[in-house]
Amino acid sequence: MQCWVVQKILPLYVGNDLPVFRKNIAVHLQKCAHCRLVYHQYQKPRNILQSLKTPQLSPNFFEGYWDELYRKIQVVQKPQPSFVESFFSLRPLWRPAMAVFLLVVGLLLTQKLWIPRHAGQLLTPQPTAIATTSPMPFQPIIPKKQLEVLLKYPETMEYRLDQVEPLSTKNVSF
Amino acid sequence: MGLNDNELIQRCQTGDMGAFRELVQKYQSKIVWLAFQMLGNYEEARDVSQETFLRVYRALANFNLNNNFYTWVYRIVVNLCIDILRKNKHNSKPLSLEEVGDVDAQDLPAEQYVEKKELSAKVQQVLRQLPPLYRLILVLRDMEGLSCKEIEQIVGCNHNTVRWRLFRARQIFKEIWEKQAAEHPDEDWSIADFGS
Repeated sequence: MQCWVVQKILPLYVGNDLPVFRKNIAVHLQKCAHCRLVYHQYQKPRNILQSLKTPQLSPNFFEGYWDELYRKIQVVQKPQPSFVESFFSLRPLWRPAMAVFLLVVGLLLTQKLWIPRHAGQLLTPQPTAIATTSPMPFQPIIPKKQLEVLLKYPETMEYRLDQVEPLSTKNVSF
Repeated sequence: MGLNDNELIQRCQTGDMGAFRELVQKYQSKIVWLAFQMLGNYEEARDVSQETFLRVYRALANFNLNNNFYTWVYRIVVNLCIDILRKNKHNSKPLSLEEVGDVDAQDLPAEQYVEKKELSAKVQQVLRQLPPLYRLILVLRDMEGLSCKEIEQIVGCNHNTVRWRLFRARQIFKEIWEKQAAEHPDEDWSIADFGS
């Protein structure tokens, strides 16, 4: 391995955080004094950090710490007052103001919910009797029996005048 | 014999406050420390940790026992810290470990204890110059010793993003550390024999 490659990956090598090339680097470090120097420059700060491990705290520290934490837990555990309880815990002057506010909000909400519902009912078309009794929305123009006869004997069909082609009179001589 | 996380959570879900106390006791130092590393301010770290446990308490009833409890908690802390950093509310006043109560360090001989304090302050100084997302990855991987897989779950990124941020974070940390050492030659920024 070349020196610049080794020196590039040394920060990870010193903490055993390099999964590959470990053997190659070890061999190179044995041979190359300069890379060995760089390795020690990385290794020493790491040793310092490792030497400053978590200190054991004194028992007195814990007692005060736990008391403080326990008080906070008690506050968290205390059940929150319900809406009615919080309403009655208001100052006497605030109670009527709060009641009026809630009344106004309630009225506004009722208005908003009530008006569109009734307006919508007026706008929607009322269902017809035909639609409810028959699958067809309108009565057929030709009665059913007459239609059957016409389909069976189409020569008997009567055409309206606008549907009949006018007779050709071009080659007719009178 | 202490109960494991799932047993404690199950007891919490039945309303056992003693089990929740045990959970808090088990994780509070890690949570406070992580928040302190992220925010650099002890007061805010303490507030964030308490808010974390409050959120945990509220959501514990719906917690799925198939998931990892600590990655879930870490995720809450990380999100809260990032929110605070985004709001830019934090004061840039790094405090020493004394305020948190570093018992381990107090057990050390006086000279080493002072050295460790100074070193911690210097690390804080450098960490605070890192962008928050890089700082977070560096703290979780190198200080907390979490695996990349766990960090993925906490940060909500994929594997490649985590490794890329880790790579950049280590590069930047080294550069800043060397720069600080060059700027303050009177102070002892040498780390020749530390922890190697």
